[in-house]
Amino acid sequence: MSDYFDPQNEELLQDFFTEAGLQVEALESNILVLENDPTNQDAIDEIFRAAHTLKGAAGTVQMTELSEFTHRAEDLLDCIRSDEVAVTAGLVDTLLQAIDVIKAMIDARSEGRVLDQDVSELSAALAAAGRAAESPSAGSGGTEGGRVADRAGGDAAFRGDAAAVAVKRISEYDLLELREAAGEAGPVICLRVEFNEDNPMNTVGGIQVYTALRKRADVLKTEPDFDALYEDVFHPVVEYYVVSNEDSERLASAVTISDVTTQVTPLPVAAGEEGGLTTLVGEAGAAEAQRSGATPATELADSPGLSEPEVALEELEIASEEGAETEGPADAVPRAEAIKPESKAEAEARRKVSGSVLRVDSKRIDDLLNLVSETVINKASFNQLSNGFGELLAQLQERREQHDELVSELFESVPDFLERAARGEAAKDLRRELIAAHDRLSGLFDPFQNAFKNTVAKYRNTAQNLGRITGELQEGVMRIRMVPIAQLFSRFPRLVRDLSRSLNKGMRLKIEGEDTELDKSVIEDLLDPLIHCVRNALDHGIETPEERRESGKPEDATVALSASNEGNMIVIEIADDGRGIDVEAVRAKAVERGLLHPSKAISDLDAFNLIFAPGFSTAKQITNVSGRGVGLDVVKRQIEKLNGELSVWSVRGKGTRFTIKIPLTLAIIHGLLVRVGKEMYVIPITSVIESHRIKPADIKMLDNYEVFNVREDVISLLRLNRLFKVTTNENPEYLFVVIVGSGEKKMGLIVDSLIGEEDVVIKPLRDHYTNAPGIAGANITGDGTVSLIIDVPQLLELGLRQEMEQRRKMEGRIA
Amino acid sequence: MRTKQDFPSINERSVSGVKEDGSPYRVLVVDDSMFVTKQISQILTSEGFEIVATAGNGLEGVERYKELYPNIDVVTMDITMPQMDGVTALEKIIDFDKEACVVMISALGKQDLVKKSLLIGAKNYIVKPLDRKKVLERILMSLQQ
Repeated sequence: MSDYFDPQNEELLQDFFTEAGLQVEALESNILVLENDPTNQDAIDEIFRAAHTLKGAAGTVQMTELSEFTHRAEDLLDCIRSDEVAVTAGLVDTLLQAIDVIKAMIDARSEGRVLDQDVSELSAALAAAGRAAESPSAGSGGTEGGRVADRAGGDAAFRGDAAAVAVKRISEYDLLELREAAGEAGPVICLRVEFNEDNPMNTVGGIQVYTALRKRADVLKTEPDFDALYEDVFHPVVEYYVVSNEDSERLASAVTISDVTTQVTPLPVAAGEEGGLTTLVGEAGAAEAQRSGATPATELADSPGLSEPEVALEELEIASEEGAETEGPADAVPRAEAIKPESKAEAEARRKVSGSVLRVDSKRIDDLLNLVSETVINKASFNQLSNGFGELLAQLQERREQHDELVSELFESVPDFLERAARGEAAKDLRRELIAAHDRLSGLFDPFQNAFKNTVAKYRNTAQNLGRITGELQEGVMRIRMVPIAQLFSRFPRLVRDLSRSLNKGMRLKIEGEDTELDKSVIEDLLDPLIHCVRNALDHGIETPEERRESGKPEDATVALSASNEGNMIVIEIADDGRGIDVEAVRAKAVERGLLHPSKAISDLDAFNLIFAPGFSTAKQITNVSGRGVGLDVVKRQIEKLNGELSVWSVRGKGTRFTIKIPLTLAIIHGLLVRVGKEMYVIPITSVIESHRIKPADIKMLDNYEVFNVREDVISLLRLNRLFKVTTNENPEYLFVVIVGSGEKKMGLIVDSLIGEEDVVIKPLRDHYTNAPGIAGANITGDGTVSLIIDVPQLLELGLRQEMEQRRKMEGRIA
Repeated sequence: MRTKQDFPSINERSVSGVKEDGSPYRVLVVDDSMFVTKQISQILTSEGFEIVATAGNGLEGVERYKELYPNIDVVTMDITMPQMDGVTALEKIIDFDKEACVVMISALGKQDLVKKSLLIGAKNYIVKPLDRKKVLERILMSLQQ
């Protein structure tokens, strides 16, 4: 189709995929809007526009299956837009299914393959949904409904007829009328224009020529008439009766438009010629004129001419049916063939394209650019400083030489002075003389010192600037990675809708704070836990409509998704107005599962937290939505992996609220640097509770655990040197204990010393190291050494396990 | 194109996107699809045209046009766009500048709107999917009219 498109043009392809994603999103969200408000014209327009753009783009990148299918959907949408089809739940279902197929097609393409799923059934469903409304109007001449059928049919019919051009005469009366209209403006000219049928918009040609003529001449009449030209039908030949002072050849060249017209023949009209004007008109053109209710041509036609259009019309209708049926497959076959020879390399190229794309506000990039220019200036200052230091060094050397010279002079003069002293000269005079001679020595280094001071001050200044700029750069780059959480939330309307249908519960989804921004990597990892929470809320949290009615709540439940900033954390809440958590049921279940001792009294909060315990599920029945017992504990773990926390609060009968708190970004953390032996470790500051300096004697033993008393608490201790097998002095005068914790668990880590706090950039460990227990990643410190970052939650588990093991060994030894 | 960079051709290809005085034709691209905008830009800049501005919807397009006028030679205008569609934008531009050279960009199936645009005063139209040859041909044709 397009010889411009180059499959290697990755930049374009990438843009296509990005945009296709957006279009699909727009489609989906607006269809959901439409479902709730079927008359929302904006939503309909938006849907139509998105589908249309998608179709066009897909055509350009030669994804024919996608553009064909989207075209089907668009046809149906067109019917909706023109109010021919009412929006029903069934229709929305069909549309959503179609969107799923479109999504699958795009996904398949982004992986470099073509979706091989059979979509004919859905295509048929789309067509059927559209046709339901068309059938009544199709009888009225077929101009309203069946746009595709019409177009295809028209083409097919004309293909046969356009060649057979018959001669037709125009009556005297007609001519008279024309001349009257022309008045004295100039001679009447007839331009006979043949149109190129292969032009993709061949039905526009008539108007295009009309507008081209309009500038140069008065168009008196066209044949077929203007209204017919405006119809969406192709006319192979159109005659324009114009009056103009320009000569006919010039007019003819003005309307010769490549691709649109094939031939333009000016036919001068001689006034008063008997027998009328002899011109050629395609039969099909006449047929068209009749079809669209534009009658002058046929009214005036001879009787054989009258019957022929009728025949043509019949043929046309038959052809149009055939056309409608065969258009899809007939079109698809040659295109499918065209796709096949796609080489493997090409497919590879497409696969690469599907990498993740980040859309960034250009202002953020500008800010960065600004900072970069500052760093360049900064670099220049450093260069200057380095030159300055070089000069200083030279100066220093020079001064030293002078100094050495002076000193040796001094030494040389010493015997002389001694001699004079022995001769009995006054010491006072000698001293004066000595000072006078070597006065230069004392102030020799002063200029150097001043220059050095200056340079050091400049250096300090520049370094400070560098610090500020890097800080801002870091922030700026982080901001680039920030994307609004709307990207994530936008998936939920569909999810909630589908679930509410499959669960037969009426639901409203409320979304708040979708502008809140979050690191892209975090957003990606948040999807699964969020989906899980929402499903959980819908399935377990919300009662059936009957139960809701009984308890006097509105039948439609509300689920609210909200996001907000809280310091450098993001808080995401999933709240429902369902039945709330049944504390008693949770207790009973926990006891049954052996998670809780029957006699232990727990607070409500503790009970709520029990639902995060592995293997806990209070749903009596397993539904296909949730409740396989691998629920919230997985969610909790996923959230903790993101350095976040998950908590739940519930009021019986009123509803439940899940709260997820996660740090804004994962790539840079604030860490506490500690030293163990020669190694440096980083402990994320968010999990550090406090630190202590203790004497080895403060460590107490409790059941073979090393423990340590902090105020009222007993904290078990873990020696990092033992865990990581680092040799170090285990009995120094003082030990440092860093108390870390996440959630309820706390633990003291024994380290050799604390170095300080610093922002560290997390570098992931290579794949074969990721199993290093207790290590979350690595960091390169200012002096280039590598320090490992401690994974506190893992360490809490690890320490516990290791100590259990040690204890078992000890017990073995005793026995 | 890479080979051209490596071995500069002696016979410099003449480009069609420049006026007789050697200055480039200045183009305003109005399209809500970033993808199409880029495509048009690539095609035109390769022929020496200068894309002086782009706009994401009709409203923005009209504003741009008024801002840049008269330093603009041709506008490519998408038909379906949010906020203000291409036909309305075309009307506004023609209201503002009768001589404006606007080329409509339309997908198949928008014949009625294309006709309307032509009647309003669009110089020509281009059908999506865009074809390099057609795009250049039609834009140049509109400019020479």
